[in-house]
Amino acid sequence: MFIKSLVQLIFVFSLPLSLFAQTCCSAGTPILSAINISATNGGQWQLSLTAEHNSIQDVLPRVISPREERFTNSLLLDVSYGISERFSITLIVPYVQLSQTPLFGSQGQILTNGLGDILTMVKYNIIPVNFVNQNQLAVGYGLKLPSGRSDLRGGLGAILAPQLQPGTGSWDHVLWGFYSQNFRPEPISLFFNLNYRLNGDNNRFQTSGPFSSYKFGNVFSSALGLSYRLRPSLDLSALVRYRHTEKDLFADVEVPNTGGDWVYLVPAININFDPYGLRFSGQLPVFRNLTGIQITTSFTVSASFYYFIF
Amino acid sequence: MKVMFIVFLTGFIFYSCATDPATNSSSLGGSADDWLIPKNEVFDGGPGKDGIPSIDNPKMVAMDEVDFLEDNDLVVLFSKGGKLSIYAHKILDWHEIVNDADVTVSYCPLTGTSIGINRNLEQNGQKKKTSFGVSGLLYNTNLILYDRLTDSYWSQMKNQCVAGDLVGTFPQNEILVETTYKTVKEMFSSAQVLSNNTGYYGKEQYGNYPYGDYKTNNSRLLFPVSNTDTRVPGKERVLGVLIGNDAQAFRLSSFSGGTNVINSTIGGEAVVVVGNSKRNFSVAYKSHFTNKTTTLTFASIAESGQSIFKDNLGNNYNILGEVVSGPNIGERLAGTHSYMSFWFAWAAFYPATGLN
Repeated sequence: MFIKSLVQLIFVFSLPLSLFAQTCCSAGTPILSAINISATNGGQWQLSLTAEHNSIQDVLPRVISPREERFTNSLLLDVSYGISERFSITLIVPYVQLSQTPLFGSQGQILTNGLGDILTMVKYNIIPVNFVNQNQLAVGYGLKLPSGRSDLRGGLGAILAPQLQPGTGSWDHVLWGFYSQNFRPEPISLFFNLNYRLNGDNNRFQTSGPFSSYKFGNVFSSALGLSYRLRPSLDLSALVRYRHTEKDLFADVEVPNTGGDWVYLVPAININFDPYGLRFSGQLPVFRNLTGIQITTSFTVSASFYYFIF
Repeated sequence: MKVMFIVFLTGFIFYSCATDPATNSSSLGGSADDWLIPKNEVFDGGPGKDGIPSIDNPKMVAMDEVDFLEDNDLVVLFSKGGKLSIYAHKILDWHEIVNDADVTVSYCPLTGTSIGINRNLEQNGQKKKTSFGVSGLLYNTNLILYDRLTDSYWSQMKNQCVAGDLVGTFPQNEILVETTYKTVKEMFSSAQVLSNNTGYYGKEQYGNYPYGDYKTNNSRLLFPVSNTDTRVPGKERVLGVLIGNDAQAFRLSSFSGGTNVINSTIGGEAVVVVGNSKRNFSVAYKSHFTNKTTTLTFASIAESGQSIFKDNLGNNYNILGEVVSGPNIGERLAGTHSYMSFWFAWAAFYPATGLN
């Protein structure tokens, strides 16, 4: 059992812990991309704590000048437990801080914070990794709870815009898939990840009648990456991540300036000292094709600490 | 170890839940409880207070220096003391408020409404000049301004202070006329135009409309409204006239076949409504001169230069209600509270409106 767990631990440490990326300018936390990239082994607890800073300052198209600066700081606690060799469960609890600072006028920074939307997830290892199998295939289903506040109000009592709400106010479904391949004896791993988030309706304006329905656009995300073991305790990885977001819907009509396509480059360093590990990661946009005019992520940096309990 | 881990997890969740999310913004002024309009129908538009910057030192240029306006672009015209000023929607879409010397031009791109406000507000019995800014708040998806004298909040289409020290008071309005750049060029070649060199954004920005197909998509709204009325497509432009409690809407499209002149009564007041869908304007004035009471009757004429309608005294008028020829040259018709609007917005603010 211990050896088996060790094999998976080595395997996991050779991969990026998660595929970080913020949801750009919409509400809530980067919950989708914070899902651990692999499934947890049977009988094993896995704990990770990630701090992430997402700088949101780029306005597209470029001829449009920014009128505000935003950032999101997140603290994500990820707890996973392997029920068996095949099944594992995950709980992700975010705490977020959201900031918006106008570039004009005298108003200062608007800062909100609070518990974000919690994600619960079940993963199934179709092909578990072990001495024989140097590849892994897993799928999962997640349910995102509207645990974060989405009705915070400003000084005069008006509900703040979504980019300042810690939660989305909706129940969302997450479909997750993962494949990886080790190329022993070469210290290289290849991995591929798919996510799809089907967002539910929320009552963004806390009203009744025809305007009570708001729906953030569904999100498809995939990532392809390579990991290279430089030393037994040091891995380098890089992945390319693609994200497509559909337009938001308000009263069943598409909302302008929402939705688009993003491609990010995500380099990372993993430092492993079993059963602990540290991970430092960045995220840079390399391609963006956004609908209309949007403010979006300039860069993201994150640091994770993770710990396995056998 | 597992026990420690569970304790840590519990502590994290407890800490997250126990922290009361709150804004850390600078004072927005006023009180959250003293709204004249339903507080739960006031929404944050997103950019924050002054996040959409008003133009406070407008630079005006001659028409022959203007290269960023097309003939069909909508503009707002203001006249005072013989000085004519033009403010293009292309610029107002990004600023919403221009604090010019004699008027604050307010424009809400989400309701398509331009309303002129006198910059002098009365505070403690004294008139004081102020400027207005964009509060970042919306009521019935319409602009709420704030004044920089008292930090009070003003609903543009309700035309009233709705929160703050001046709550309940009404602004003094100035006459604005909305039409196309072509029509203005044909009528007022000497007018000055708000430059796209605003000092805030690059000139290219003003060639981009910020809300996609919002102006033409009848079913697309960005914020809730309190009343919907399907008698007319939502984004059709109407001239709304409010006198007393009598609200009337005149469809611009109904003014076909040249300039139409309607002598009407609204709210017990004799008014004249003049419109031309081809030249893209519709205006309403009281049927008497400013500071006078004699009621006039009006009729259409063969348009020539600025002259677009006439009265029973032999005066010819321009689109601003100014006598341009005849015995009362120099006089001007008294203004009404009227402006062009998307139909949905007018119907949201004035559910009992008549439709003409």
